[in-house]
Amino acid sequence: MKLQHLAVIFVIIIVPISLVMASYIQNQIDAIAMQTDYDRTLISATYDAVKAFQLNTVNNKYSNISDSKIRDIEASVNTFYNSLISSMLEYAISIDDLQAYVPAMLFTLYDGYYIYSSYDNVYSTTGTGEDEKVNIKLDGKNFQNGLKPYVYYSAKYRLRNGNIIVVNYTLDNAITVYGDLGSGYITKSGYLINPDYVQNVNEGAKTLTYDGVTIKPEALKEKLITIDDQGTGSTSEGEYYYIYYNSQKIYEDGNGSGRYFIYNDYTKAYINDPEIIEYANSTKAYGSGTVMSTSAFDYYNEAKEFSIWVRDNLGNITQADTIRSEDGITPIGSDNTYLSEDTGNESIFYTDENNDPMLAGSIFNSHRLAVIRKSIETNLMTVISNYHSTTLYDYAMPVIKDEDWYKILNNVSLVTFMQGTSIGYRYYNNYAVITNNINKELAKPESVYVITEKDGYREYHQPGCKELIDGVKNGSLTVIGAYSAASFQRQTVEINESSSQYYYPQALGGKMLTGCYNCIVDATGDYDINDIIDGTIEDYENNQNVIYNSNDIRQIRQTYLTALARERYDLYKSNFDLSDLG
Amino acid sequence: MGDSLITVVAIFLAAILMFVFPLMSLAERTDDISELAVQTATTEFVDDVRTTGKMTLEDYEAYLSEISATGNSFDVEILIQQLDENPGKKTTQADSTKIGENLYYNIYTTQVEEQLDATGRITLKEGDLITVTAKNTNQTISQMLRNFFYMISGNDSYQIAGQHSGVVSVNGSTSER
Repeated sequence: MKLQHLAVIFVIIIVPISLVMASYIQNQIDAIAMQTDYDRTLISATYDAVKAFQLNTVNNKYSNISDSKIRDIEASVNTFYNSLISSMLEYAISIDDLQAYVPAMLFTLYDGYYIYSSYDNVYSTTGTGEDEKVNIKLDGKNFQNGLKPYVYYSAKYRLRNGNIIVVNYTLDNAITVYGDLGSGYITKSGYLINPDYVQNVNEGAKTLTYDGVTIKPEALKEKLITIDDQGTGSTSEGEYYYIYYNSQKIYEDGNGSGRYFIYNDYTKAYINDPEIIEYANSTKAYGSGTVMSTSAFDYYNEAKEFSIWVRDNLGNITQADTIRSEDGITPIGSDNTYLSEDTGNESIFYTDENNDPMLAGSIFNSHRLAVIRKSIETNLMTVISNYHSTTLYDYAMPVIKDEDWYKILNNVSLVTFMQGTSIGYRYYNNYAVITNNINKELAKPESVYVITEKDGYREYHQPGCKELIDGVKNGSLTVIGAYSAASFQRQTVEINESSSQYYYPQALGGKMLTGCYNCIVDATGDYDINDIIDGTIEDYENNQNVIYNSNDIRQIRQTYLTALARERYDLYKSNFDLSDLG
Repeated sequence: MGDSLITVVAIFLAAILMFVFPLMSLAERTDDISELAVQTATTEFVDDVRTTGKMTLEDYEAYLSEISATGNSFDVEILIQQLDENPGKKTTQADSTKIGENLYYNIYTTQVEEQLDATGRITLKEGDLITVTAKNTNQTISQMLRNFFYMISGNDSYQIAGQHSGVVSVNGSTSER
């Protein structure tokens, strides 16, 4: 055979093979490009939804009230779909088109979570009698999309005497215990801390020591812009001392005036209730004429009492007593794989220095995260696999990565799921997690900032900031106070449709207040916040090597632990019963 | 006789293999790179508008010149969905400051360009949505080569496209800065 023949035969064989290969590879490339495109779309839509939720709650003074929160969440869902539609102009035109591909949205909040998905609208109006009217027909045809009922982060435990109790968890160390411990049904709420740390309690002066740090009443101050006259739109700016009364901020109008107001709709709503006025006046005794917040003292004092009660009554509960959520009767016993975190035979609610719930790595926290994760996992799996829609796709929950679980379990966050759209030879199935760091739901250890002053110039820092610790240690920085991250956000005052004003609540005394470049802007050089809480900062690689001892960081710890306690104590908690204490 | 025929065929095949295929794949890579550039420019432009709350004529023109620098002509579609300040006209419950609860009205490319020409800027507010899509209108080399083998016709026969959208997160300032 001639060389030309061979060449032609070679080409005839190779060209079809390479064409098929090329088209196959091109398909794969297209599928991946499409998948990346959907990922991007989903993440940006989720981000927009979180942003809308943030803007709506920051400007909503009632954002913690359940009805108002549902409204904010539904507005956020709308924003999600609006954003999704606008980035998928070519594929979708209405929310209904997209709902088939979004089987669930998960909103994790402070003490529980909402799932936005389809549910059966089973109310029937065919019967005439009152009973017939609620003729439940679970035929899967009458579905509609909406928020499903709120689910608390809860777990059941079997006590040694056979009784079953329920513990509601939150994203921090607050818990609520329900049930019959043997002497009647009780409900108790409180913060779980190590009660041994709280000493020298002085009820009269409202002081105590927590782990060697003195906690005492403090004066809190912030800036407000108030509208004086709605007609002309004239406003005035002022700095006011405030305290919390029933989770509501009460400001004193002019220092020592004895007149108090609530900031409502950008105006001062003066308080006439003699009970509140008497309480506010009584706090002046702790300081020099200004209203003083005793929240931090109350936090540690009440938490001590609660923790001792929990230690005495629930101290012997271990992971083995947790009841399976599937049947609600049998404890998990020796099944170490049921929960994602195995705490073995350790007592979960017995708090001491080896199990300090203020620290992220404690037994209580490991168990708490595992229980919350189990609850979310079980519910999401059911919701997604039962999702009703018009497509023939089989919905299934994707595997959520461990680092995403970490984000979900430690933050107020939004998780969205999208699946069922065709990408090449496969179907798309992915999720997006966006955390919401600016909210009024949760005081995370990281979201309390310390304000310092140097030469009349103020900066705010993360408590673990190296510059802050060094500055305070050598005396070049003066600690002014500490507030939650939301106090450093820009607030909007809407005067009328066309004009609005902005202010920063903590920019006081006409001084510049900026974020520290070392920690707020670039957080790489920070020390672990758990080290600040427990008292000494050690080398990351070698635990024995103490970099700063408890004396070096005493002042920062005192400010920080007071502020963290105050911010947690003053959060609005809908499901918190403190009436039983004391 | 048979020999010279097969030689002609072989030369023909060799020409296709050695010139046309590499040219096609090169042209396609060029389009991929153009697409990447257009996508990046579009994302930057939209994110700029989202984070500053305003669209200026200079920004828009810079964006247009950046995408035409790929050597193609583009059809740019802008869609701005503005939050209606008067939600009470349609519903009684909605709150004008609540993002996601109220209605939008749309502004399209021609209106955007008209306003940019007249005032030099468009100011947006928190919660408005903006979408920008750019598609090429000319025939790229790879499209021409492909048309040599098979034709794609219809409206959406573009090869290079970039699209980005999102919610505006600040109120644009009305000052000149």
